[in-house]
Amino acid sequence: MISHRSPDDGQPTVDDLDAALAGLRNAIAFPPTPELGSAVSRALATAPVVAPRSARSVFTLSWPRGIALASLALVLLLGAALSLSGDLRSAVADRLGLPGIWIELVDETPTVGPPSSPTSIGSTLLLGEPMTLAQTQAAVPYPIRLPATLGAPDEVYLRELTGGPMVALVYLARPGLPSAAETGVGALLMQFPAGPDSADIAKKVLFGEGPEPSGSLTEVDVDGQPAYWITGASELTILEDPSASYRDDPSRPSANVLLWAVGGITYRLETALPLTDALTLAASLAPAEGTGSRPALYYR
Amino acid sequence: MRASRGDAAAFEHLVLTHQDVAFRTAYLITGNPAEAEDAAQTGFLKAYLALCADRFRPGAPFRPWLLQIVANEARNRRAAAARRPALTLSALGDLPLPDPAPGPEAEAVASDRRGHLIDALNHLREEDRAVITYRYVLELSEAEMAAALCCRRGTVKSRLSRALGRLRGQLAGMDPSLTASHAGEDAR
Repeated sequence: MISHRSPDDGQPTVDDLDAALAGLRNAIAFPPTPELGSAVSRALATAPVVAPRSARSVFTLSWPRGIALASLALVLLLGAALSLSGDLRSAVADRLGLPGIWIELVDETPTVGPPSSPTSIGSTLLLGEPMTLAQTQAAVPYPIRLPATLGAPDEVYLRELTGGPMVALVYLARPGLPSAAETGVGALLMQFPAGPDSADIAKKVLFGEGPEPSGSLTEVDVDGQPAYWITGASELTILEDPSASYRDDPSRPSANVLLWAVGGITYRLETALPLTDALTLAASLAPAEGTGSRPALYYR
Repeated sequence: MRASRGDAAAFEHLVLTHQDVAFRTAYLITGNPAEAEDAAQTGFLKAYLALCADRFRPGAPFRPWLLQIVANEARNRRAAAARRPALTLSALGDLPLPDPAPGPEAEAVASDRRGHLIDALNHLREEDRAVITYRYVLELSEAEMAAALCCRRGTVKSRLSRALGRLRGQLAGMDPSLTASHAGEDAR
């Protein structure tokens, strides 16, 4: 066994201290653990009634509505119970197959705050730090793509996600580009690298339980790539730590969104434009000129 | 997770599975068994209600999230009591040694060693003692430690490293019999 103390400073070595502490695993006297199960059960019996999610069958709520899963334009009109059904939630996520994106269908109205003011777009929309387009391009290892139909953005932001840096291009409302009530801007294009198992951006979409669902999820394509158009009241969260099981990251209301992924980069276009215009805008993406963009695509 | 669908029986099973670590985490914060029990019980109840209210990410590990809730409850109770915890760690008596036939002298040496180590832990400030006991005594994962300590996962390692450094300093300044005990152990 090696010495417990460093020869020079009289302290135990790190390894020996580690071993000694590991030996404490069963050596500390704790008070006996009280039996909490029955106490918790008694408390639950008198707690305010919370509607069990299991009582709201996915099938009775959703399938009778005649969903055509095989349809090319796949519109999922799923009932409320989907939000807590892990298997079905995974099924939706798998069907989307968009790295870095986590979609949940919920039946509670997301928190709706006031539209962002022009001076605080970056913070209220959770976009990160404002930068110039050239500065941003120099800071990210993939070419920033701009929608040719809109040209240069009014504002550019950079935020670090777990999968890599996210660039957000902000286009203020103008003729032909209406302001979205949820964001206060005309269009917001996020682009970021993400692995197949990562989920940096979560979006809760209100589907509701009434006779008509509030939201819709439509499968479309952008340049031959699968894409999804999600409408309805929703809430966006950018996760500080996607591996954490708790949710205390800031959220904000989200406008309709078009999602797709190309070359290891996930794109998220948030706008009040109708779907056809959003698709035109998405199809017009091209690398920004004069920003020192790097030629190679960024694959993970 | 059945418990997330409002299945109280499934949740009671979760309580039985995690009540030890929840209670001990709370005890290390409050230093008081009754307050630790209240904190753990309230933590479980809040976890159940949060599950029903869709505040748990499906598929994510349950324990770190539970420990975060329980630790917050414990800290709130300690703050409400307006006092610092009077927790002092102590050793269980007559623990068997890993060596199958250590003999009474070796047992005494090992017991002495544990005693000095626990004594040194008790001399640490609360934050340092917490991160070390979470790691070595409760054997929490990094995510669980971050949840219980209410810090980011990235800072857990640095906090543990600094706490271990201060513990080494404590041990260096303690009874020289620690050296003797280990010299004896080294000689075996």
